[in-house]
Amino acid sequence: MKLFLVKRFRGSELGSVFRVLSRNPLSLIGGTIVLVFYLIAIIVAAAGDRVLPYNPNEVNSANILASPSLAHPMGTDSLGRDMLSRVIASIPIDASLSLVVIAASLLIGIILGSIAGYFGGIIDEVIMRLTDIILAFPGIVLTLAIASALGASLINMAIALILVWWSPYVRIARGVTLSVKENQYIEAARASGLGSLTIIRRHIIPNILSPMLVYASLDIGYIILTASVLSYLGVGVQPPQAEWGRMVFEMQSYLFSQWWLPIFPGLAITITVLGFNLLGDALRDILDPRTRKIVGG
Amino acid sequence: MVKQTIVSVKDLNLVFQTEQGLVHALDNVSIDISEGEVVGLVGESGAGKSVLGLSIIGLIPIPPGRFLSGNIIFRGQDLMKLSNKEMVKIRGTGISMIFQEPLTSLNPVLRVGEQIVESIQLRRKRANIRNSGKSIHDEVIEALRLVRIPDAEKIAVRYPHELSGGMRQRVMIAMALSSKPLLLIADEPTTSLDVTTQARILALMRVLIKEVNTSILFITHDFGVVAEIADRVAVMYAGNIVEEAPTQDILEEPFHPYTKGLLQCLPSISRGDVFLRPLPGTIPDLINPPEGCKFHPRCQHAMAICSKRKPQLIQVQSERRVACYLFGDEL
Repeated sequence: MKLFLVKRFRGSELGSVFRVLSRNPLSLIGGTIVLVFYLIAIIVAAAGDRVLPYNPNEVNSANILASPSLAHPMGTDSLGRDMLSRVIASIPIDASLSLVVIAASLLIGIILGSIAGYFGGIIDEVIMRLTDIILAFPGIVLTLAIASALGASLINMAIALILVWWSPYVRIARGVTLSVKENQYIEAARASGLGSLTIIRRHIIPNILSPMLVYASLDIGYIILTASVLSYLGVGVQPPQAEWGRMVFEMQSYLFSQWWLPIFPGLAITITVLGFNLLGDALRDILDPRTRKIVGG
Repeated sequence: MVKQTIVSVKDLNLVFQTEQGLVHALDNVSIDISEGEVVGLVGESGAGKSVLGLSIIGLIPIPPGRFLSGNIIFRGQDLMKLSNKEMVKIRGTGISMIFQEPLTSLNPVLRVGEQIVESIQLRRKRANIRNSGKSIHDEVIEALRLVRIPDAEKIAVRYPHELSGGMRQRVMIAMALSSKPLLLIADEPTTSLDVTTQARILALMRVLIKEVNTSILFITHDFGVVAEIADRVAVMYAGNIVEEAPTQDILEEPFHPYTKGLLQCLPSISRGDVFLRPLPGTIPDLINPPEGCKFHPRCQHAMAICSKRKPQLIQVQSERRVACYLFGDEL
């Protein structure tokens, strides 16, 4: 078994990812944005603020609200902090937060959804009604309520996001499981003596994975967006930590005098979310073995 | 030499609850299969062939299905009395099944080698083999070679969609055989293939039956296929077994009018057929089946009694059973 599983990741598959990406300019743009996003996140997380042009939290009262210049390409804020450094400094926060939330949601969604869909009956009812309760609330309101109940901090925001975010994943996993389990290869697997849990693990989950991952990759952008909104509203990342949403909030009063101050962090959010969405579309084509050959040539 | 009976189905009655009413899918079906024997199960679409196969392996969805009565004795164990968990342990190594559609019976996201690995691991686990001296990888390749797949090493790392229908069907057979089941239920395994591939697969299965010594219940609607592969034939009509006999006998001299009709459907060169001779009429509605013998509305030899009382499957010769008033001494 090892042999086949190991071979799976050698060469051909990774190669086809790049082939597909390089053929479609939009997915190439998306892929580049996401790659740069994570690259910066890793570098900054590993090396700390030293790699930034300035210390993102260093107050400089002699140079407040400076216009963009060579020394400060995005200007400085009302406390004289370098905007570029602050925009970059918030990347690792958003990257790790979104990955943690997406991983937890995927895990919960795949496990609960495949179990609900495969077994059906009372198990399905219990899991899906639980999911409905969460889905009945407007997401942002519920997240806001949980986050503010827990108290404003980065970790509490992550918990609040996970508690709200998993529910659509259960629905998708269950929906796809319902169609996958009608396939004859599931019946064939049952006929060859596999137990229910083995069938879920070996046959259901690999087949529901690609729509789940596509949805997740599209969703990372929205998590970053929501995290920014929460921070904007004051229940997320706390000052002085730099975070795009928080920065937009802090700088919004300068929109008409020093427009670049709220625009640059806002632009960072827009570009990042766009990048994830473009990449998500490309991933859908790559992850499905049936369309891979067509797309990848 | 008396061969041991591997599975014995006795008076099985199965109904399906539908919105239109109860469908009587299996009506007092009894059939025995011995060790190493190939039994052909023949009938029109909707006769209950697949349902009988699924009943034996315990994959009838309940509900809507419901067994009214009957037993399925597999090596002295009544499968009807087993729990779901115990049934799982029978499947694969005890009873396995090959399905009709080779195109959809393989998981599209797993390489074919990985799918065969499952059957081998399962068998090793159940037989408690820790170290057989052979790696699982070698056994996969061996299983693929057994079904005459060329370049087995390369095929093993392919995805199902990269293979042709015939190849996929061979992979399915390799999968089913690599768990070395005592009974294999083959549900029209060659129907969706072209005749040349079909002939090759049948020839292959004949060889494999000898090599692995598996009993097979071969479901088909094609008497040509039955003649190729089966030792004995059971003919089903509307949920009943109407005739059962050794293959040679039934081909040479069918007893039941339905069997005769089916065999006449086959174009014959010696008869000098110019036109096909289809059997008139269709299989009856199983919600409101005709009284008495279910075949009587289509039967040329129908008598008064046929519409009143259902004929029983009775022994007419040492190895032949038939359910028709034209035979036996019930008249």
